Amino acid sequence: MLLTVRCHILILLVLVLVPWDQANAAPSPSGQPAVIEVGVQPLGYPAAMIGAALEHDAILKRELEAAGYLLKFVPFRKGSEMVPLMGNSLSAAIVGDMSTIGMGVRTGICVVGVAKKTFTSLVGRNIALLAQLKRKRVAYAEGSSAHHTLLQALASVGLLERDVTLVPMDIDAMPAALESGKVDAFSAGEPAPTLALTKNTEARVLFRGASSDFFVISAQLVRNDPQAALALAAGLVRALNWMRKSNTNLQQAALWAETDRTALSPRHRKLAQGHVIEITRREILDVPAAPVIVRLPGHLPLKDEFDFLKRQGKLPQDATYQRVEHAFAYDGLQQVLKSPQRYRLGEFEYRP
Amino acid sequence: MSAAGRRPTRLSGIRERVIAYFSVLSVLGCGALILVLVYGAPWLGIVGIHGLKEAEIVHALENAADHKKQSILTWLASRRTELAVVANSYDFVGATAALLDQEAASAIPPQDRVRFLCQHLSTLKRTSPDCYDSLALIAPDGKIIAASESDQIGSRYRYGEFLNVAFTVGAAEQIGTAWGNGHPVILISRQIVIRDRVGRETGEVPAVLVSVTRPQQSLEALALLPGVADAEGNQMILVGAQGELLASVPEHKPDLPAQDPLLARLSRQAMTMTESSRLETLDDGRQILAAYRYVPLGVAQGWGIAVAIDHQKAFAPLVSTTARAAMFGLVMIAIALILAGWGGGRVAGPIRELRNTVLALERGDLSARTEAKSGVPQEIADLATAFNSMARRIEDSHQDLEREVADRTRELRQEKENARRYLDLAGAMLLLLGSDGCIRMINRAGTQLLGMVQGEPLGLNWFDNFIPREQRKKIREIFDALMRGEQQLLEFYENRILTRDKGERLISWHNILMRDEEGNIQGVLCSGEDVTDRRQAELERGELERQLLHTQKLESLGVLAGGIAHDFNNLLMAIGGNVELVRHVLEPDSPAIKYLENAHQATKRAGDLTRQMLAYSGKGGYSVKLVDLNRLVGENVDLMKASLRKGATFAVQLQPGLPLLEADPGQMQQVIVNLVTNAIEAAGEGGAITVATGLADYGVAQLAHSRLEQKPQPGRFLSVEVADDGFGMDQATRERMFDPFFSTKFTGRGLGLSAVQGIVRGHGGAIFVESRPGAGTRMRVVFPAAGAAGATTAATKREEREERELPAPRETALERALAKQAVADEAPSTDLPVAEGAQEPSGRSGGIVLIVDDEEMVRLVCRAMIRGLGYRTMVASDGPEAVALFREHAEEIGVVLMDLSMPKMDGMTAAEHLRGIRPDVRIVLSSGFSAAEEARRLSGHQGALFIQKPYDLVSLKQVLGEVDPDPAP
Repeated sequence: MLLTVRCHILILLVLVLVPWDQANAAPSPSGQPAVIEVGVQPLGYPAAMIGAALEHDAILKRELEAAGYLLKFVPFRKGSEMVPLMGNSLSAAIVGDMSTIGMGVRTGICVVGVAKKTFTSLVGRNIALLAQLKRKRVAYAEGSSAHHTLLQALASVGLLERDVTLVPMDIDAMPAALESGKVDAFSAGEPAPTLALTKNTEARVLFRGASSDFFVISAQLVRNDPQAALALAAGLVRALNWMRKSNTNLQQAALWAETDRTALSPRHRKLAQGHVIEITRREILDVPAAPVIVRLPGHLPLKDEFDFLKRQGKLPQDATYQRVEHAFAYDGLQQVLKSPQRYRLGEFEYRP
Repeated sequence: MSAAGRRPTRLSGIRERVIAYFSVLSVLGCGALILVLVYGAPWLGIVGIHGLKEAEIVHALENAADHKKQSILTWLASRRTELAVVANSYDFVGATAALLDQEAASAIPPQDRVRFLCQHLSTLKRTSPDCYDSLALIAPDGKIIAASESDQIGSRYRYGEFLNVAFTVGAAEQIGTAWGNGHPVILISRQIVIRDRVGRETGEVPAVLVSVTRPQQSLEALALLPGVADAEGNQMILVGAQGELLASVPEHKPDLPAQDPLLARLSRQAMTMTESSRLETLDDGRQILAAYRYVPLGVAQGWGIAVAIDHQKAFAPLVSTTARAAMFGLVMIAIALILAGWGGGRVAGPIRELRNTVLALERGDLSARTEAKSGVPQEIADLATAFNSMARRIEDSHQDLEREVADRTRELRQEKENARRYLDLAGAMLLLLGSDGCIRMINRAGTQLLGMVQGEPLGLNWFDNFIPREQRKKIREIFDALMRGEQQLLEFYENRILTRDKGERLISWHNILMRDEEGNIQGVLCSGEDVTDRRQAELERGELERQLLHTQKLESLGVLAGGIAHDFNNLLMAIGGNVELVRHVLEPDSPAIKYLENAHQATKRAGDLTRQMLAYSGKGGYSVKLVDLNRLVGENVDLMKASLRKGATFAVQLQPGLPLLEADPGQMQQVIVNLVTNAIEAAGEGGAITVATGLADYGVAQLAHSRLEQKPQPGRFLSVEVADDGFGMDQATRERMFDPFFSTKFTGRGLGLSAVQGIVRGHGGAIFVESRPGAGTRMRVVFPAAGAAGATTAATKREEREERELPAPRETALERALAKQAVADEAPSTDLPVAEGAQEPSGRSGGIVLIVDDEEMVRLVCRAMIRGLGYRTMVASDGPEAVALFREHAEEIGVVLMDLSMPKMDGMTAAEHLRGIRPDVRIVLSSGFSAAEEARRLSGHQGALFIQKPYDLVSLKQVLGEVDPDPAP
């Protein structure tokens, strides 16, 4: 009996001491600023560039501070790590297809706009055709867009995951692993494929699957403080406009991104700034209408991806696409774009 | 087999083998190399020509697709740039805004602005005539407000669906496709964005600029990679987001993909928004290598590019390359074989020469040497030098070896000769038998034992030639089992062997097995000793020992029997004499006479038994006379015919002219009676008995079969043979038939044949027995013949005279005794009894009879009997007393009746003393023994006679009458 009472006291003490870190950050009545945590991926481009630009956007920072928020950027090595945090500690994030679907299925999110439109590549060494992947060692990151691409590639030639030897690995370690022969192929987004192709002439892209990164905001934040959410959406547009404006801006963003990458993974290879800029242009800046997600007739965003992942057993059987579709129905970006002056889309104030 | 003797085969030579091995290795190596080169070895990290070719083709396809993709992107970028330049130009935006804003455009007529805008669009179209079909500026309501073709102004824009996308908020530009006039077109839009005075976007979009381009028209200018898309059978297509065929090389109708399986497959795959390269098999079985590329045209759409090549055609150059490589390989193999043949010859030549030299050396040419010619490989030259050195050493060693072999051969020959001599010196037979049983070696002693000359037995089969037939099979089987290792070697054993003279020798063998180095049995070495004589000697010695033991036994029995008989005779003497004296003093009609007669008869029969015992022991009464054997046999056989059983026959075969036999007639009679009695009892009823006499010479061999231990000297013998056809005797019975007290008859005493044996032995004769169970018995006793046959008559006459003096013929011993008793009864009676004294005061005889006997009761009864016969008597108890008494009364004593066996001085000694006192003294010796020798010795003296105890009055009177035929009354 005494032991039971003591346990209850301990649990109560823990609940009191542990901070209740809510994603629906809102200014507290006591005047303490609420924290808006934005998950970024410094190891992936151009998500790292966008994240770096957002992080140094003084306008965004001021606007949120004025609204009683403290903006905080949290680096992650891969998007799947952010899925369980979204809606809890995270209020916004730049994530790929898989993580977007995962977040959409798991909790309420609002997709602001596209942050990358590119390919995720399956790079192999001394392999000419996809069918030759059988019994080969393939590095991948569980739950990433590249994982989705790998599944697509295997399925396109009638292979399953068990037909290859899957080697879980961080994205930044994949090029070296391929070069050293530890793996025969890997599936990853930029910059890993570019690094591998640059350093190893025997490396070839075996498969490319179109993939996207999205800037998503917690639905709870959108619900509780729409203006804060619109400020974040404006920050995204402003960041893209700023990088589109000049190559200098791109170089600055690349420097910031490199700093963030080094802080997260200091040992891994550095991608040349030119490559970073090229990737950023190709995969987001030069994409027509980006970051706007144009709704084409008969086209449901990430519907094919959702169905594929469900077929592959990567999603719960009771997961429904409607939650994903609902996430894409958010019109915050359109609201921002309709009022560019109000949201100061043409004003740039990026500070180190 | 030597190398020279080996038949050469097709691949026996080094050169041929080098060529063969090299050929195989070349073919296999080249084959494997070609296979590896063509198809690679992934596990070795080797990519073959096929793989490389495949990679090359894939790479080419990908390059073509990438190039095409890049071309399209470049083309689109150019168009987007051109449109952006126009759409973002201040004048164009201002004119558009003014045109749509009537208030702001009041200063300039709308037609001018439209014309201005159209002029821009026309200029742009003219600038890139192959890139635009048309350009139009379209208001949000879908109406064309300016166009490169002025006739379109004011009309509703035909691609309204695209127009809705183009006006999407924030979508500054858009790329899409549409279907127009039977072919797809590419639509590119650019929003006209209104800016404020400081250049900031207001977010207002009054119109969009849209360009229309026919894809094929635009793509024609794009270069395709030679040999990929333009080659026969190759394909390159560009499909839109909806799967429409935008362009193709070679050119196809837009609706063809639905019908062509290749285009259908390419179109379907190109729409997957993925990029890859793969080998695909079409429904019609064709295989294609295809590279797919995706051209993103926005966030949610894009185009697909597919470049494909027929697999078979793609690899056609590889087939020819492979064929050329195979041909090249074959040529190289051929060249390699030629070189191998040439090189093999170069290598094999010196080796062949070396081989020939080795063969010459092997054939015995120790002087053979090889030459190291110039140009020969160094290894071969070194080998030749080493070989020559080795050959020299071999030659030297061979010579040394030959000398040593010669010395050793000489020594071995000498040792062999010595060994042969040693073997020959050995007294034993040394024999080596091979595993086939043939003689491999035999020494001189063995050869001589077999009765052969030196070397003659070698190679002969031992068992077939030297083993007695009855033992041959058994011994041969044992030997064969021994050679097979199944029989334990008998190291010592004896058996008989045959010699050349068909004689048999008993050999004692000592054997050892001979084995080779591997332990296999090769034969047996046998050492044999001829033990025939030794065994015979041992047998004879055993026989002698047995005879000696038997003799000792008989002697002991004889001594025992003689002693018993002596004492019995003394007792019987006292009993019989006293009975006889009593009978004489009784009245003739006294009823006691009958009882005394019975006692007298019993005494007689007891005397017969003691005589039998004495006869067996050889101490019976022995009164040697010349006896007519035929007469004696005839008389006794006639007497015994009454004893024949019913139906039995008796045949007597007496050989006439037999010489007289010097023997005791009584004992001879005893022999005949005992033999015939046994024959009668053995023959039984209906049997046949034959009694025969004969005279023959007997040799040593014949006499050796005598049943007596003491064999008589060869010579002429008289024989009495008694045969019957009765049951016969078995071996055991035959051996014990002469033992005392052994009898097969219920009532027998077992002394008959013992007495016969003792009598015959006492007469120096022999006994022969032939008997088998169921075959009857034949017994023959032989006695040395005494003299010529003519003596028979004189002896017969004397006996007849003697017989005439006797009152009646004697039929049997008992009857003869009764007859003697009858004679005694007729003699004058004496005064009985007479008291014992040194001298009888009175007597019928003028001489005194001195009675000498150590037994008092004998002395008393004897004195009474002699006094009864009318003699005066004197008695002495031993020899000295008798001598003293005789010395004192020498002239008075007429006859001395003296016992032979006395303690202080025996009868013979006392007799000698008496004769010393008075040589003509008459002495009658008496004894319970049959003192045959003494009697024989004394028989040569005048007045010496012997009387066997117990004797009766008749015998005593007769003896005394013979000694003193005329006694003084």
